Amino acid sequence: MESWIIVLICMIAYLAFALTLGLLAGYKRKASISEYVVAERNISLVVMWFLMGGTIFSAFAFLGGPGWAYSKGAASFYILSYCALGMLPWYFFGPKVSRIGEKFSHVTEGDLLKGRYKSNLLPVLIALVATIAFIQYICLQLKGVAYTVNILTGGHIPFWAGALIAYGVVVIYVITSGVRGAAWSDVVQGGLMLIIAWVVGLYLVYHLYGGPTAMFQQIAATNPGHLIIGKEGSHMGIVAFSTATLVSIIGFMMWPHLFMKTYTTNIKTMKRTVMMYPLFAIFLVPVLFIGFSGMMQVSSGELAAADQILPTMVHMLKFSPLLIGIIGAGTLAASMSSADAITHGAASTFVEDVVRVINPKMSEKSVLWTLRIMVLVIGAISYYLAIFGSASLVALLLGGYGFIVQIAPPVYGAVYWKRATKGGAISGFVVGALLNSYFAYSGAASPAGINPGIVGLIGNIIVFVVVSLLTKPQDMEHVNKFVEA
Amino acid sequence: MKNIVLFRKDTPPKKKRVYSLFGVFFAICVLAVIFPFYAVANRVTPYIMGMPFSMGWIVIWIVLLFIGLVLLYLWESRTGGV
Repeated sequence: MESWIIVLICMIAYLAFALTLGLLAGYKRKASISEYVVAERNISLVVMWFLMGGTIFSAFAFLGGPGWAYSKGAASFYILSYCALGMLPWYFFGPKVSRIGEKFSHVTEGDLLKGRYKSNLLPVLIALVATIAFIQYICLQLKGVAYTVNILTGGHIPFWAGALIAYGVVVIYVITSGVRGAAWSDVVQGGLMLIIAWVVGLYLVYHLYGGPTAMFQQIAATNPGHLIIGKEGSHMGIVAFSTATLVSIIGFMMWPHLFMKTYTTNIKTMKRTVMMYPLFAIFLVPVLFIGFSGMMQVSSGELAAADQILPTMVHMLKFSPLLIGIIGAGTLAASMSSADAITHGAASTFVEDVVRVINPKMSEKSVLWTLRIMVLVIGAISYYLAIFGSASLVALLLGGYGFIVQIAPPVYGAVYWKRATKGGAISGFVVGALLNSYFAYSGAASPAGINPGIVGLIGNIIVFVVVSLLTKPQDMEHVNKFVEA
Repeated sequence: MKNIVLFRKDTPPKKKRVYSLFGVFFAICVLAVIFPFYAVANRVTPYIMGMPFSMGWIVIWIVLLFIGLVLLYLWESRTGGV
């Protein structure tokens, strides 16, 4: 049998396994909105850790991380800091938001903002902007899948087909099982991915160079700027590096699908998840090694995109087809475990915060059906953009973060600042989102190389504070139910 | 400023102090991995566990952050706050 067929069989076996697991998770659970969206608020620590981790340990970390280590060097270290620090704020604001959520039966980030600011417009605006960010994020996962399947099968499976099949599986189990389907498959996929990352990362470094020190010495000798920031031969300036870190740390918990997890668990599990989270960043270290190890092996001209470095290295080393198949399955796991959580998050956010706000009288049954249709719609749009768009994986992620970070001022204002008002929150958010879009997509250089998301955030905060102070304070009795919770 | 509420009304003063202390520590963890403070680590040597100094420095701070979080969590569960 030809080796690419064995590789393909491994990946198909994995897909079948993921599908079965995802479907089983939802079996015999009653179909309700609360179960579909937040799994009746009772997800345990291990599952929660992987559910949150799966979102980081995605095509972004698994392919984009090595891709950046390979092409941009030290700039990729920001991924470690952001992964370790991103969840930290949750330890402090999570319990408060959770208490508020229980009191008012919130299930989404939009519910909190709608309740606190008594505004329907704000959650709708945020959900629309978040949907743009979500689609970029799903795109990233699909590109990852497509690269992997295409390269590991030696080009026999075209780019479009790999993504279509793998994402098709995700869409099916998200439609049937909701968040519980995503959670259980994340545990298995997350575990598989961790093992593969370490085995492949360390193997490459020891097999090709004899150890990390030797590898980095060689890189430092040939490309002195590659391992540091903002020097000659470096690929990122100090301001861009620092603000990319900040935008990701501040934005991380603002992703509606992560914020929503506040309502899926209890305060104890929440705090323990935050406590264990920095370990994920440590697990990312060998993933970056994979990218660095490619530097002396693959010239950049050989790759269509730097993000292909992991599958290319694996393909080049002529491992046994079975091993390549397992690595392929691990990459699929990385991409799919994020794609499911995000697709689910995007559809839930859109339906809860846009559709149900516009039409509050929908029956539970039609809400569930709308949710499922949205999963399909968002899936189709992302698929189209992934196959025909050209941005790199990390660029897609940072693009998404620029929008998401604009949600931070209204959220923190809602639970910590009594004087925050509806007018302030809406105008701040709009200014932030517009500034970010302008600097991220118009081609205009942002001041001093600051990340466009941070430029937007600064404008957002200023407008939020000034307009809030100029407008009439909200009814204090109402506000205290949130701020004093 | 009196409109900013970081703690609930019935929070014991001891908990406020511990939270503030850890808050400062976590802020240091963030500052350590961005410029200007990251400038002290922005070089290749010495190697730390095989990693260039610029990478090892971040890994060390992640470990410190993890230890800090474990201590905070243990303190809270011992005082019945979780």
